[in-house]
Amino acid sequence: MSIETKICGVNARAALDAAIGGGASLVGFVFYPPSPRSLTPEEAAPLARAAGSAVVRVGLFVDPTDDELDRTIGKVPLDLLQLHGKESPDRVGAIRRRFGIPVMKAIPVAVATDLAVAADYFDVADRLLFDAKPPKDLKNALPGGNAVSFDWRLLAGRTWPLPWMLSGGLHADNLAEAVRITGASAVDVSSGVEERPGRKDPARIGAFLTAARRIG
Amino acid sequence: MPIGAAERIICAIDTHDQAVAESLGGRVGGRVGGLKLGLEFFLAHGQAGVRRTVGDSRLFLDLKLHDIPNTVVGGLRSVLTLRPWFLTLHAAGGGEMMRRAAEAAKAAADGEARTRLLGVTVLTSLGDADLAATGQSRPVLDQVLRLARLARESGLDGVIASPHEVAAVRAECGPDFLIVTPGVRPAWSAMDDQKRVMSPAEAVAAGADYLVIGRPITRADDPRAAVHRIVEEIEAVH
Repeated sequence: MSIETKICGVNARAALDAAIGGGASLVGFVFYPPSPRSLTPEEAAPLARAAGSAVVRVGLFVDPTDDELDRTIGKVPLDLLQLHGKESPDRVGAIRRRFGIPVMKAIPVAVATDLAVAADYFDVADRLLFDAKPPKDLKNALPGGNAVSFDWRLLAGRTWPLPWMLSGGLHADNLAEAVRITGASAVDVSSGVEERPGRKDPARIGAFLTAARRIG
Repeated sequence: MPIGAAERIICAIDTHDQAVAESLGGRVGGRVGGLKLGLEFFLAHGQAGVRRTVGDSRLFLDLKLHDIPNTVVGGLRSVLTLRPWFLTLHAAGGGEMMRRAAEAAKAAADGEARTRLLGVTVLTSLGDADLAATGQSRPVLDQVLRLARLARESGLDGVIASPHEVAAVRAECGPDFLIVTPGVRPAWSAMDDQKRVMSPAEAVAAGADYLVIGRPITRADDPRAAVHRIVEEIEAVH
């Protein structure tokens, strides 16, 4: 079975075209102003409409209020909401019910015990995303997209009742090893396909998707 | 033989996210009559994606075919390899189109496991003014009944009918014609608007054989519990 790929932080048409043309399954739009990849709903709308049903359009939010979600979802067609903050299980369930859109909960991972948190979200989320916990010593660290990985061996041999995705510091050259160790069937990349933070590189997107195809 | 309450429920997989669709299919597939996948999902993921989502459950393939008879029969043969339980086509395609499709479905039957063809009458997005603008007779309900009758006479197994059309279609087409009804939702499910909608039990009472239910199941914290609750509601009335 082929590896599902998500290109996150798409903020330009060239990056979107490279993602869809290269066979990505999901594309992510970031709605979190501190991130260099962040978009306003007005900027994201034409990209999401252009993507259509060719891919799953993911909106990434960090501890969003209902108002923020209302404003964005009212303008941008989204197929999946990625909650990348400290949203409680109750909050995740409430968002899912209120907006009627499937939800992917990000679980920050640094050590083995971090994985236990995932169980709290089994009933309220549709997907899980295991991402590297932002390093404490990194200045201005974002909730994700910091180009750091966690110890992939933590996921080795684990099974989950929900579809899950591996994230954190992936790029074309370490993808095969990451998948081999974790057994991931879905992967997420952002900084690994950029020429600098916030600027996606269509060539690197293409290389990443090619690397994913070779595994699958 | 009466249909069991759980079998009456067809869960609409209302996402084109393959992994989410598979996960949902795995969770509720065995507890309902079948799973419905539509045009968007089919065009995005093809037969392989449909197979992976449905697994061993029964498939309601909602493609609403509508073309000249040869083309519809060709398209039908291409998807009969998926062995759908239900498949939709537009009754407005005419008697010949429906007859030929019904023959093709019968020819491909595997014992009892024949694909049931359902006619779509008037899309719920159309009102009287839309019918007038496309040269069709008003009011909507008359046109619905005309097309339902034609579907029946042309050998289709049933039609899709919205909740407020069910009783009239049942009266028009008799007891042996399948009626599948979308747009029902249990009273307890979260509502986006305050519109009065028909509950699953009410739709069955009005004459529906099968019910297509999406969000009240797929967005429930526990989709299996939501199915159970709907089953109990239907059983309480019947």
